[in-house]
Amino acid sequence: MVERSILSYVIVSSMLFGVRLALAQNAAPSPPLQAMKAELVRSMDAFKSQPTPPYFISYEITDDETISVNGSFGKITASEENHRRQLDINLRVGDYRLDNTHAIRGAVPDLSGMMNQFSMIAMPIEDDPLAIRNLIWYNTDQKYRTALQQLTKVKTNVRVQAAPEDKSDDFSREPAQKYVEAVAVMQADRHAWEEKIRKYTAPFAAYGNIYEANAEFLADVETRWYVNSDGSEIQVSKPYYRIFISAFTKAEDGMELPRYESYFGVRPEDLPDDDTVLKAVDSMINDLKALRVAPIVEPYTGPAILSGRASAVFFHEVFGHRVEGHRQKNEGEGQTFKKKVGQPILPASFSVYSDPTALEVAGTDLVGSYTFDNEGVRAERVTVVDQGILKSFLMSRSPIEGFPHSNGHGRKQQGFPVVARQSNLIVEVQNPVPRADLKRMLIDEVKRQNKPFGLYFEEIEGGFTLTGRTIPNAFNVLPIMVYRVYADGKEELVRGVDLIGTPLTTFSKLINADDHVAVFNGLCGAESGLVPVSASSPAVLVSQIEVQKKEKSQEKAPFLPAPF
Amino acid sequence: MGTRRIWLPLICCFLVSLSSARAEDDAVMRAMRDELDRSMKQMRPENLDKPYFIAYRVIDATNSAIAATLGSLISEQQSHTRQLTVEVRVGDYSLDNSNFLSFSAFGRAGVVHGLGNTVRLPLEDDYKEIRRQIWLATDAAYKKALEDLARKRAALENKTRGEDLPDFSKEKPVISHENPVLMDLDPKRGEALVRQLSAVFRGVPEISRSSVEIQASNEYTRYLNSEGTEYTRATPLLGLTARAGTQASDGMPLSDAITVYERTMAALLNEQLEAQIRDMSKRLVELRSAPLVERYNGPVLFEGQASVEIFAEAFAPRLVATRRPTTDNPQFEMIFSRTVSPFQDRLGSRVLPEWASVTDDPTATEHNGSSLLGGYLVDDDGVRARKTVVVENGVLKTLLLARHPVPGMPQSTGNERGFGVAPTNLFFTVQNGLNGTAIRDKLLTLVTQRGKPYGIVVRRMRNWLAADPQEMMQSAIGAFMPGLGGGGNGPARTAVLAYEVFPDGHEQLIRNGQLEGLNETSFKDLVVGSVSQTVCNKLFLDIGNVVTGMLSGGAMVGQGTPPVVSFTVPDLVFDDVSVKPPSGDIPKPLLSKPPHGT
Repeated sequence: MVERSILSYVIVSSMLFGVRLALAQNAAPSPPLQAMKAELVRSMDAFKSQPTPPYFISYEITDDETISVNGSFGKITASEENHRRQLDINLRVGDYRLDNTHAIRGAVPDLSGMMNQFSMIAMPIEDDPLAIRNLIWYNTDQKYRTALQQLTKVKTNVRVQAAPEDKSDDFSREPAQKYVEAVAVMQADRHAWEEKIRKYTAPFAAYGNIYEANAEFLADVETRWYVNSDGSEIQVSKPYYRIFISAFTKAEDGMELPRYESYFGVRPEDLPDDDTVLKAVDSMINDLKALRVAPIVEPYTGPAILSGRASAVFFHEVFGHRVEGHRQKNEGEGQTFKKKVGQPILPASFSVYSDPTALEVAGTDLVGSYTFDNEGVRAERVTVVDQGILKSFLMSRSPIEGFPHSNGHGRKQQGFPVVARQSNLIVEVQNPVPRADLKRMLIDEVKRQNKPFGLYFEEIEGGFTLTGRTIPNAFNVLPIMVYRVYADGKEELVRGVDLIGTPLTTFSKLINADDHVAVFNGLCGAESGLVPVSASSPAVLVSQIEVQKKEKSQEKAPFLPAPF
Repeated sequence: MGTRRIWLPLICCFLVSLSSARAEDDAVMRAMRDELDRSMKQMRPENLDKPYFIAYRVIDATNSAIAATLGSLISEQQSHTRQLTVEVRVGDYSLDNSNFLSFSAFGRAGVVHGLGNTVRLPLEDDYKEIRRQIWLATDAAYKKALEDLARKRAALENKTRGEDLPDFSKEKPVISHENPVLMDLDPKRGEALVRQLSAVFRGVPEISRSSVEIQASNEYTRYLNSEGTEYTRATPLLGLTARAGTQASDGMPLSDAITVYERTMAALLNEQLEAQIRDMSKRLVELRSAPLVERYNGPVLFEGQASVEIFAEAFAPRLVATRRPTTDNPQFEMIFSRTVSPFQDRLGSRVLPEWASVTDDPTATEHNGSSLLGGYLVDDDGVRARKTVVVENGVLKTLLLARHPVPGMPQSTGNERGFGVAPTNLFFTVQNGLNGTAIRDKLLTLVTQRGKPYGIVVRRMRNWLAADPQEMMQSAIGAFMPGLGGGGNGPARTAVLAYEVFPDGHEQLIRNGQLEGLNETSFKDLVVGSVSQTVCNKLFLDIGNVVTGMLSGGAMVGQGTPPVVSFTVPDLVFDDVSVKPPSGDIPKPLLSKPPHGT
């Protein structure tokens, strides 16, 4: 799948770069940005005479124009266009060292305190300054009063609790940024996409034992306007287009067996043509047929290859979440890597980057790209691991020991508070081996360990990880297509396993990688909501992994046969 | 404020069905009928109960919601869905899988995901594809029914069933057909209207938040069950909500909302919306400087909207019967015991003065020139709509219910309405009512008798269902969980517009009056009612009833807005009501000035 699409993408993305530059030249600030600026000046001034005035205010308005089309078995189930704008306010009282956002320790979190972190402020979708400013004004006043209350609680808490391990400031000083790019234009025809979605889901209708087959087309032009009291004024705008196809069948024993396929691009032309998608649909159908009769794997430990996409998700879960800066400060976190800066944590041939400035890898557009984060900080390529040595963390404007500044990774979904999040995770390996050699190395490993077979994880749907202290610090990657690889080279499709483990042990088992880099584009959910991220990696060979049985539906296949 | 409501208002599509000759014979209905026949005949696995009842309901809904603030659009949403709900019953009428809640019912994974056996169908009238979806949904609902019945039997083995009530009532099959109606909201016209109406507040900097929203929902329902009932039903509805909020000089919040419902745009535009909104704006500005209410215990006269509101909130929800489900979890039992109306054990007792009666009449469409929007020909279960005298000369005759019997009430009254049981068009009538100013004179007489310096007249009450979503959530939690915010008496009842009335006849506007101790028992001691009546169409939402309704109806709920109920209510004098200022934290006044004029 991934390999198939590489060639068609390279040309497109290099063109895209040219287009962006051209657009940027015609850019002008939109009216909302002007209104936000005016209201920001007024707000800073309005509270100046208060005993505890705000030391920092930022406003961000996110404008989402979306078109979505959903279909099932060749028919349309929904087709909608939406336009919404939402306001986020970050208002801080106190000072950079200690402010109202400081984590309250040792107390049961109170509900209203938690609710205060989230806000859903709908803004006019038209550019009338008075309507925009009135909402900003009213909500700023509310936030200010909440912030004052928070600061009182913080100051008391600091006095009664033991000093924290990490004594860093609450907020970092960052340079003001001025950047305006042109507002992108939606380029999708909903009715044309209805036709395509019908076409993509129709082939599934011929199979009575495929119980769900859905496709979604989603186009989203997201424009963000950001101003802060440091003087930053930012207008960024980017479109993205996505196709997501899912289908599932059931084995005789009731196990639900899904297959997913997704495509992402920053222009509609970046999406594959009908033939490519229909071929993918065909292979989904064939895989589902094969999965229904595939044997179940018993819990197993032994050597395995993770395909590029599987390895990408593995690194995102196992590694990426553990280098998010704020986790090194929060004393509820496991902090696996906190004291490991400058030490080897991966084999010396492995380097890992978090690079929001990268637009594509191996010809695939990356969904985790951006120019400014949600705190108005310019996106930076961060070398997280250099030749096996841990170098840095992903930083928002919440500093940690040894890392006093943001590197442009303060991200969030609208309505959520910012934390440090991943962008485009890129795993690079020196001296990769050809794919065939990696398989040979797997077979050698199977023989050396005297195992009946090794595993090859080809396709995954996603994963999750737990990073807290009070729960086992583990990860779980959810594979869909897994093969047993026998000593004689024969491969056999199996079903019903999840890939599990704990981070440090698993890293120590990495052996080598091949030269086929693949990308997984997805949405990642954490404290600051859902953000688009990508991860890319070559396929990797691991000397020992562990799989456990998948949770399984106990529900049998339908009593009656399909009506046709 | 511009933010979305908790539910999505509904509207419907039938572009395709319009083109076919008769709705009752279209591809959707045929697919429903054929799959129902097949399921009833062939779904009989060995050693398992076979279904004794299957019902399918397909709702085509076209919804549109457009909102604006200060003349600027804030959101515009259009949606178009077709949803299937499947009800499968195993066992028999006396004991089946319904009226049961098991803790293990949560987190069930299956072919049909989502709450209430509801699946999305294609918007196109494709016979084959619709049948496929019905087939899978029926299978999932059947499996769930089998498991629920097994768990229910197990739970019942450990207890004595108090009353031997059937789970499901037998009702006469009904066939009723209506043609779909075209959606009556042109988006451009809707946009223009909310822009125009919300712009009223541009010149009023004292109002800190405001919004105007128009919602159109057009539903077309197809229903079929294995007893031979089938119906098609069209329910177009247009609603307009205008909200405004400000703070008094001491910081106390003041807010008000206007809601208007009609079947057509022409009728909506006839309501002098802009004048109503200007009035609301003017009232709020006046209230800011009105004196704060002082503690008062004594007679209170409710007029107009306030009278409807107090009847709708404190009395009407008690007229709905709720079946207490069997459960295998003692905590659930405690929760459900709170949702049962105290009236359920009081058939034959006096609940109102002898001069008062209450009737529910879904067949009425109009009262003294005002349109009544709560009615229909058949309810959601396909039970024929009919007039029900609920309270006659003060005595409780029956409650309103659906097909899940409660003690003393074996048959449905035809009141299943999507969110559970609800009234339709509810009439509060009085004999020997007072005319014109006579009712106010009566209040003053009472006041003088009690030696009070003044009485209180309430002319507007806050309608919590029209509040912004956060306020509404708090009220809803309060209503369902006594002690969690509402203090056990349901949502705090706030008088928006109240006046002190003095024996010399003059009135003084007061603000932030909270009414306490008003509940269904207060109505028994009503002093007097007026001849004149006020008609208000209003959403009806009784949280406890929604929860139990989901369980008793085999989970046939989950679509759209709560139902609209039309209330026709006289002005009322209560003998003894407590009115007091709000307690608890009072927000501070705004610290900054609005941007108007800068």
